[in-house]
Formats: sequence, structure tokens, C-alpha cells
Amino acid sequence: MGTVHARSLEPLPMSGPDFGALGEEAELVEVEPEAKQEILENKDVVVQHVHFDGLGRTKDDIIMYEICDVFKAKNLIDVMKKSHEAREKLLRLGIFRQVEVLIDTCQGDDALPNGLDVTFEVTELRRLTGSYNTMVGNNEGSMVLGLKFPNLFGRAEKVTFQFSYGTKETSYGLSFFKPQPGNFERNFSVNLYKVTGQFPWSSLRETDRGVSTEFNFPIWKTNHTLKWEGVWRELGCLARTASFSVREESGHSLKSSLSHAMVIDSRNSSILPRRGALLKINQELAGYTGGDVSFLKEDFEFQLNKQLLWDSVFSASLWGGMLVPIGDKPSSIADRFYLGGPTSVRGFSMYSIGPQSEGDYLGGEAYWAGGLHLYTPLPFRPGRGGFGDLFRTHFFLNAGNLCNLNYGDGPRAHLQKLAEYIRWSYGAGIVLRLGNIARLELNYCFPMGVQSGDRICDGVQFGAGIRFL
Amino acid sequence: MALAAEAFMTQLAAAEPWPENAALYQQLKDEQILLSDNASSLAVQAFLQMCNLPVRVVCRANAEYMSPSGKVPFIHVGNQVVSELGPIVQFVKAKGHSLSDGLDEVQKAEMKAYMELVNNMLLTAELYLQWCDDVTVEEVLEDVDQCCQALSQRLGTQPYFFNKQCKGLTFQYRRLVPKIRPTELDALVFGHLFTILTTQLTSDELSEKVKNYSNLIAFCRRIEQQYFEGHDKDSSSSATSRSAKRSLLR
Repeated sequence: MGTVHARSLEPLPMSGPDFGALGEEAELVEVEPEAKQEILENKDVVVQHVHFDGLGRTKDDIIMYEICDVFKAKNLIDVMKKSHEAREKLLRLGIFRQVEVLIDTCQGDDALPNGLDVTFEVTELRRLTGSYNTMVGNNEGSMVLGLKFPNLFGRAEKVTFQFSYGTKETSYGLSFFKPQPGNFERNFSVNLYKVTGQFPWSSLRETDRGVSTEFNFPIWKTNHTLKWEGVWRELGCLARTASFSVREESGHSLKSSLSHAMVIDSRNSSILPRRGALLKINQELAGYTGGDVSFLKEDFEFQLNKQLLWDSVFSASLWGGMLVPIGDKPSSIADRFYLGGPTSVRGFSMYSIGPQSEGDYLGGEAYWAGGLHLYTPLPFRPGRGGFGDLFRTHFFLNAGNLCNLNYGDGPRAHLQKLAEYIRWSYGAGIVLRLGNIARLELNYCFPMGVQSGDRICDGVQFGAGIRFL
Repeated sequence: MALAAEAFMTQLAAAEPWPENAALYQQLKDEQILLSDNASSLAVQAFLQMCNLPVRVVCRANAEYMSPSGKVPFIHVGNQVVSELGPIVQFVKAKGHSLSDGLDEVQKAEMKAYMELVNNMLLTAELYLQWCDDVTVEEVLEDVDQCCQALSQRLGTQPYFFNKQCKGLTFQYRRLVPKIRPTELDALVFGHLFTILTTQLTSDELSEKVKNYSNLIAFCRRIEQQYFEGHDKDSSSSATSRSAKRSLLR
């Protein structure tokens, strides 16, 4: 922040004779006023008052938690730093449109000589905000209407409603979110939703109507989520020509599951990170709180990034998962894992690897997938410093396998099964970063290790998404 | 495009012989299947038996969702899935098996008319009874009575509704007599009447109406003996081995 200087406001003593009228032959003695500069960096200050302007429906206690640190500041630099942090915390609550900070000396009767007043000028968000978007996807378009009630009861509770009406299906969701006052990372939310999806690779149509409640809390450097979800699932065939294996899965079922997820993320960004690592471990147990389906599902995601010379980044990732059905009933097609596609093992068609029947992919109960990537800036660096920085060239090597395991055999047999018939691919392409959420890729792929039944997409493949292998 | 593809597939399927592993899907027997669905399923089973086409009955809880038309029963033959008696008769005909080949146009029209009668009267009665067991059921019973009367008159003392003589002789009453084959109408009537007579409902009025016509009861008994007796050992597929239902033979 640098050194801060300030002029003293006291009148300075002037030495020298009294001056009479000008023009006399008295000797003019010039006196330079002595500037008294103090380095306030080290000057002790006391924050006496913190004012808030612009609070409407927000309750006091939630604000107090966020700004209590400001009172602990010992000198001016500290005050500025802590005020900045408090401003960030207030913005993170998602209830203010704007937060301005003003630091001034204390005025008034009880003012100490080194007392400071900090004032936060805030503008609350409106009670109801709406949004309207149109989305265009694969052979379908939809309009999405969103309604949000931020800060519903004054303690940063949020209710969101989203409605999507498309050419193929309609979905909606209602969600209530409440953070713990003083501890925003600890929060819980309750969601109600109806989502429909069409999966042409399996000739399957799925409609989920569900309710879920989840708790998020941090422990040291990790973030945990505990969730209960109850879903009424309706599966159907997408076409008259669906295979009989998919036809057998049609109908209604109820799933009630408890799940736990742990995330450790030390990357500097979620899209095209330059350094850091990500580890996500997720487990789900269904059937013990009711419902028709009973299984234990584990899956993990690991990613490591390292910056190399000349602005290039090396990235390695590994995904894996296993689904163990509990009881006699076989697993449902809606719970199994899928592999392949522009966001997964590149060079293969979307989710078109593994067990299939008459051209419909049924998914598998166990899988692994890995990728090695080298990201470099575009050759000759066009548009450097501006638009060109959003693009990266990308060389990749992907591999993976998806199969069903015989759970009676031991772990050695499982590993053997996962290691035979490995599909892999290599290639290169261009990646475009979209904000901090998504990325687009255009790759030229060479799929290898293709088994009969897999559908490949060799040559140019385009992909868009938020989670890539 | 879809219709043309379907027609093409049907042509292809017609060329294939009837496989060994053909399956008929219906809902679970004891705890799920409804009166009307049971009758339809039995009709299809009887029809396939009459055509001498082997089929095994598979019970699934989600049978009606598996069916392409939403109705049970449906059969899975080779790669094809066909549901309901009408389309199944067509499908079987495309494979070269037919029970009503020898009938002339007038008889075929008559058969269709009787099948419509059964569907309109008996099926409606079953649906009414299973969904809305009301005291004011006289109209429904009236219809059932009329339908049974018409069927009884048409049947008379003959073994089947249309007694077309076909190729071959059969040994009956110590004599060789011309073989007489049943038609799909016989299968349909058997399916419905048998279900009505043997399913325990909260009121016996429906089965009482049918019991008034002794030749219809004899008809059902005859078909049960001829086409379903041989499967008594296989308890999962027999129409007569359900524990909750009474057999006609008792």
C-alpha cells in the first residue's frame, strides 16, 4: 500500500520579528513553515465507530459478524485492509448490490485523538429480481425464466425459482438457501425440482421429480456436503426402435439416497487453471431411507496442474467410479456411469463406450478415465493481451474403460477387467474459455483401442461444457 | 418415414420363423394385474396356443410401461415387440399362421363384429367393475347379459364359433373326423369369460350372468382342457394354476 503521509493540522509556531507595513527598510526574514509529516503506517489508531448507511430489511446480527474484525485493527493500514476484507465478505453474502467504504477521523464529544470512524455505504438488492434467457442446444431451443428473492427474511436467505420451457421438454426448480450468520460457508439449502432429459445415445427419456436437502460446511481446507435426495424417476423409450434392454427399464421408480461429497480445490481457476490441484470424492448410499433402488456408489475426480516454461501448463486428471447394487435387483440404467464424448474420452461419440444393446448404450457399473494435457498459448500469439488470451492450444492424451464387474470376484479380478480393452485417444485442438464457468473445445482426435460396439468420432470434434477430462 | 421403416421391419420379421424364446409380458399375477388386463392376456395366450406357437409368460411389474402402446399384454418375438390382440393377430398372420384363413368374407365380417361386441360389452363391464364397484350396476349387467345371449346363440351346440373344416383329420369319439379349428374370436371370448368366471370379485353378479348360459361354460371348459391342461406342471405360465382363482373344473 505504500507509505502514507499526512500534514498536521496544528498552527505552526513562527519565529522572527513582527512585520510592519511593507515597504519599510526593515529586513525581511523569510520563514519557511515547517511541514510536520507523520508516517501514519505506524501510528496507533482506534476504530471507535462503524456506521452503516442504507440497511433496509437486512438484520443487524448478520452484519455484525462480517464487520467485527474491523474493530480489531491497530493502525491505519490495518484498518484499510480489514475494511476491504469486510467489504468482500458483505458482497459475498449476495444481498448487496454495492458496498462503499469511507474512513474518517472521529468527530464528537467522545472522540479520541487517534479515533477513526468507518462508514459502510451499502445498497441492498431489490426484493425480487428476474431474468429471462433463451438457450439453444442440440436440436432444441428453450426459454429460461428465473426469479430470485435475495435476502428474503433479512439474514441472507435466498429463494430462487427457475423455469425452463423448451421444444422438447419442460423443467423447473425451486430452491431455498440459508447460510449460517457469521459463517457463510456453512449453509443449507432445500430444493424441489422437476427435470426431464433425453438421452439419444441410450434411446432413453427420463423425468425426475424430486426434493433434496443439503448441508455444506468447511472443515479445515476441505469443503463437505451432506445431502439427502428423494426422486420419483420415470424412464421411457425415446423411440419405437429402442432396444429391449432399455425397454425393460421403462416405468416408475423411487430413489431415496444419502450422499456425502468432499472437495479440496487449490487451483487458481476452475477453467484452464495454471496451478493447483483438485480432489473430489463423492459417495451415495440409496435404499436405506426408502425407495425402490438400493446401491452404494463411489466416484472421484482428481486433477493436477503445473506451469511449465513459456506460459504453458501441464495438466493431469483421473476420474473413476464404482456402483455396487445392494440386494437382488440389478442396477438401473439411470444410476450407471457413462463414458466417451468431447468432455470425457475424446474421439468417441457422446457416452458411446462400453456395454450396449442394439446400438443403445446401457452404461456400466465401474469405470476409470484419465487424461494428460499440455496447454500452450496460440502459435504466434495473435490478439495478445486481449481476446487472444482467451484461447489456448491444447495437446491431449485420453484413456479410459467402462464395464460391469462381477462383484463375487476379488479386487484383482476387478482390476484385471478394468485394464482389458482400454480405449484411448490422442490429438490436438483449440480451447476457448467462457468467463469462469465453461469452455469450448475444437479438437482433431485419433481414437484408438476401439472395441466393437463403440461409436467413434475421429477427426474434428467439438465440445462445450463445464467439466472436462 | 417412421411408418415406412416400420412396414419394412414388419416385412423383414415376417420372413423369420417363430423363435423358441418368444415371450409374453404381463403384470404380476397375484398382486397387480387387473381384471381387464388379465382377460386380454388370457385371450392372447389362448390364441397363440391355438396357433401352436410356443410362448412363455413373463410377469413384470412395469409391463404396461414396457409396452409400446401402453397396453398389456405384449409379445417379444425376435427383435419385434407387438402389443394387444389385434396387432398380434396381424403379426402372426404375416408370419404365415392364421386361424381365420378359411373363412369367407361374410364370415370374416361376422367374426369382426362379434369381436367388437365382446370388446364393447364384456371389456367395458370388466373395466366398470374393477374401477367403480357400484350398487347401480344394472345397466352394465344388462349389457353383459345381452352380449352373452348373442354369443350363446351364435355358438349353439357347436364346439367353436366358426366351424370351418380344415385340412387333416382328428381322432375323436373313436372315429376320424375332419379337424375343426378355432379362430381368434374363440380366443377372445375364452379370455374374457374365463376371467369373469374365475376371478373373485366383491360381487358375484357378473359371473352369475355368464353362468346362465351353459354352452358358454362348456365352451370355456373345453378350451381350457384342450389348450391349457398340458401346462399345469409349469406353474408360472399356466392360466389355471393361480392360487387366488378358482378353476372351472371344480
